Amino acid sequence: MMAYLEVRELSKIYDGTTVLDNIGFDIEEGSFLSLLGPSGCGKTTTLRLIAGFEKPEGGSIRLNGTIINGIPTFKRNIGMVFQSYALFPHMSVEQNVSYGLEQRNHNHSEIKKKVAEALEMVRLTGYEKRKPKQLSGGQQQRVALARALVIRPSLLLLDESLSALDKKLRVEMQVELRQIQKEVGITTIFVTHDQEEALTLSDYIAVMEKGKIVQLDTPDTVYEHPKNSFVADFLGQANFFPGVVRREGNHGYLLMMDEKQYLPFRCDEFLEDGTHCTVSVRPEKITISDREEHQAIRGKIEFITYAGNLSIFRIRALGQEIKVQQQNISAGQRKFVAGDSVFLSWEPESTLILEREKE
Amino acid sequence: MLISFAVVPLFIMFAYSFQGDDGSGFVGLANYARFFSKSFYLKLTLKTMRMSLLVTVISLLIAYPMAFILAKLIAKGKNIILMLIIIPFWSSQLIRAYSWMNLLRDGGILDIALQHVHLSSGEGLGILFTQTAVIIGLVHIFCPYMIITIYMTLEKIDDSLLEASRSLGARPITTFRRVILPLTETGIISGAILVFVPCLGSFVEPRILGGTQGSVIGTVIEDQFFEIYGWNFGSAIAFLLLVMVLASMGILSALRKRGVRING
Amino acid sequence: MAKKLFGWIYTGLLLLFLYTPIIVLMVMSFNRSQYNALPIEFSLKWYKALAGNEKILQATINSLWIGAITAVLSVILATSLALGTNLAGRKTRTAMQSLVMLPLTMPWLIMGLSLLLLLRSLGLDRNFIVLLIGHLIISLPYSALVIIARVRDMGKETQEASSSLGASDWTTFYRVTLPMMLPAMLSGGFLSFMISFDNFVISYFLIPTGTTTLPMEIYSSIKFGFTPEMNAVATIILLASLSLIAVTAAVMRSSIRALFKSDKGDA
Repeated sequence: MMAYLEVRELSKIYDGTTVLDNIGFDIEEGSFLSLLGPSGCGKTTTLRLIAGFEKPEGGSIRLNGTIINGIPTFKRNIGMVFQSYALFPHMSVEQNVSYGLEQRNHNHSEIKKKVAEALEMVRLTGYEKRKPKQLSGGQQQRVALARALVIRPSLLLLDESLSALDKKLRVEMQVELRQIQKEVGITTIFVTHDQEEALTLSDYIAVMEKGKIVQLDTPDTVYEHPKNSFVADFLGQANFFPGVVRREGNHGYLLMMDEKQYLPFRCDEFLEDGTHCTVSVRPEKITISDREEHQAIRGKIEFITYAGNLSIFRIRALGQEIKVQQQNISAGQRKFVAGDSVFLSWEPESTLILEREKE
Repeated sequence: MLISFAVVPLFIMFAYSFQGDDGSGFVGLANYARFFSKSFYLKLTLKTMRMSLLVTVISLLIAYPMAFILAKLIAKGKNIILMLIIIPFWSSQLIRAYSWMNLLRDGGILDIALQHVHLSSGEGLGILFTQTAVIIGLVHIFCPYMIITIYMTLEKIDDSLLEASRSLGARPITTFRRVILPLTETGIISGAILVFVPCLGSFVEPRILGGTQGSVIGTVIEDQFFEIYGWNFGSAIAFLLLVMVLASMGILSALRKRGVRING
Repeated sequence: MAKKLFGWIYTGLLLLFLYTPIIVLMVMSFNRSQYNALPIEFSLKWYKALAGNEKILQATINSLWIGAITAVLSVILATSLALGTNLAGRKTRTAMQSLVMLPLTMPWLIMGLSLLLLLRSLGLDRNFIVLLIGHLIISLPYSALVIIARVRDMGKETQEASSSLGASDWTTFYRVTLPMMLPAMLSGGFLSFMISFDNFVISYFLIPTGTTTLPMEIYSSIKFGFTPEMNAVATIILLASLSLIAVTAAVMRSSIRALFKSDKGDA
């Protein structure tokens, strides 16, 4: 069965630089995909190519079976929400929202009805006659959303649309956006550099770097099973230990690092002797204890940062700094201070094996 | 379609600049020779340059403090004052020249006022129809240009730069000399271009305000074309003027570019 | 504190310098005396004389017409230039836009002359069309300045939004781009009109014999010496220009601020 949106070998070159390097992905109808990555990775370019504002150097984009590369933007039936909202300043809210419908030759009463519905959906009923400059950022955002959705597009594209909002409002809008998207059932592509946002909103995340898609998976997969250090570090945080694997006993491994340090660890997969790789574990998965346990790593607390609901420990062990994060669950928790000697350990399934190469 | 529309005026400009004025005709370089041979014309050239230079420098001296005041010292009403400075821009050069003529003439308001205050004898000011009047008139017209260009560069200077300079122990004069002045260099030179070059080619103000003493290259060219009908010779002179104009623009632009490179 | 005071005094002096001649002119136009002598007796004598002066009236009408046509053409050309170069690459854009600004620094004398000679070499006599072209060339930079700034400020997102909503390029133009540019186009038009109306030099060189413009009439009067009627003319022109500027300023208030704001301004 063909996916709703199929992108194949899409590439784009700007001023001699390859901005998109033969990327490809599929999206099912009704799902929410985030394009996530640092600035310059090509995520906005991908969006703009799908929208039709730029032409690709190569590759194809197929929407619902039809190739849309050659079709001009205004015939593509997409809905787009810009980072700056791009509301028409000389038109009222009403006129902004009805604009797309007017291009499609609906009759007057139909338009009025649909505009009213759209405004109700974004909770802006009563604002019809206002001009954009009389609205707050959040309100403008919702108008932009209503304007894009009222035309019932095949695709909804959002370009960092929530970036301009302050934190609290942003989180609110995220929830609203997701609700509306699910209600309407519209296929959505969302560009962002904020990994929290991507994790919260999406059905799928495509992590991009330097014009390539590094990993495309569900949020929990991308988080728990990142493909490489870049992904592991971009979503959430991670500690990295590069080295060579030696098997030890049953289910036990030693990672030989430089300077005669070795890291004992267990993990869920089978590794061969001599494998070069980077062992990684996320800060929140590590347990700190004052009692030595089997295969625990010994270290010394250098610094503790208190962050409200979390405490972040900087621990020196194995010749490097290891970051550990713990929830501050109040009573009964052991209180550590800087300078304490502690032991670190974690569950095997939390061990990530990245960038492995055969000997 | 849109692009072709845009090209048209540019093409026209090119056409005219090509045409230039080599109407020196068949006589070849004789006209140029005639220009250079008579010392009168050479002196005239110098006079024109000197006048333009003077106007530029005076404009600069007047404009710089004004721009500074505008950028740094006045917070409220800045826009209004800017507008007030620009408004005279939009009155015809003729009217402005004429208004000075009115003001400066013997028996005119200024003369009478000064007589009342016993600052001048009863014989008249004697300003009108001299070089001085021309310079006053030209400065009046051109110093707003200077003010604007310098203001624009001054405005870009973040106050924190000045505070940093002060905190490092520099006296106000040093701050000015080493921080502000270099950063406004491009503004000064842009202003100079906007003042010096048109001055070279002016003839209305010199004619009106300078009378017989107001002869400059511009007026001579005007004469050639409208009084004497010596079009060929006039063209030759005009071409030389063009050369002067282009040369000064070139030199000043190069200076400005160098300033940009050094100061960022 | 003392600095501020000094600042205001200097400003005051400068404005005095700029405005005194003009104000004197205006005041004198209401003065009965022919020789601008004091005391001042209020009179509309000169204005009445003006009304009867056929030549000046005709010249004024000519100037108005030329100004209007120049303004319209100038705006159209500047708009197509701004929009057209917007689509082009950055290098072409900078090149073309600088080119348009060129006439600003060229002395009018040289420009008028060259056009005249161009005519001659083509065997043509002075005519209206070339006069218009001359006016157009010098006023285009002014409207281009304003309009290009506006296009740059506008950004392309609103136009892209319009496309994404299904509007064809033409629809986008007249429903989104044009309305958003209207204030700038109006100011550009006003500016061009004023530049053309006041222009003396270009008209001087290119005007077909038999016709005349207002500045030219003023010039000939001045050459003959001093006529009080000119005070009246000048005053009227000044007041008219001022009101035009006031209108333009009201319409373009934000753009003028944008022109003077540096890049470090607010987002």
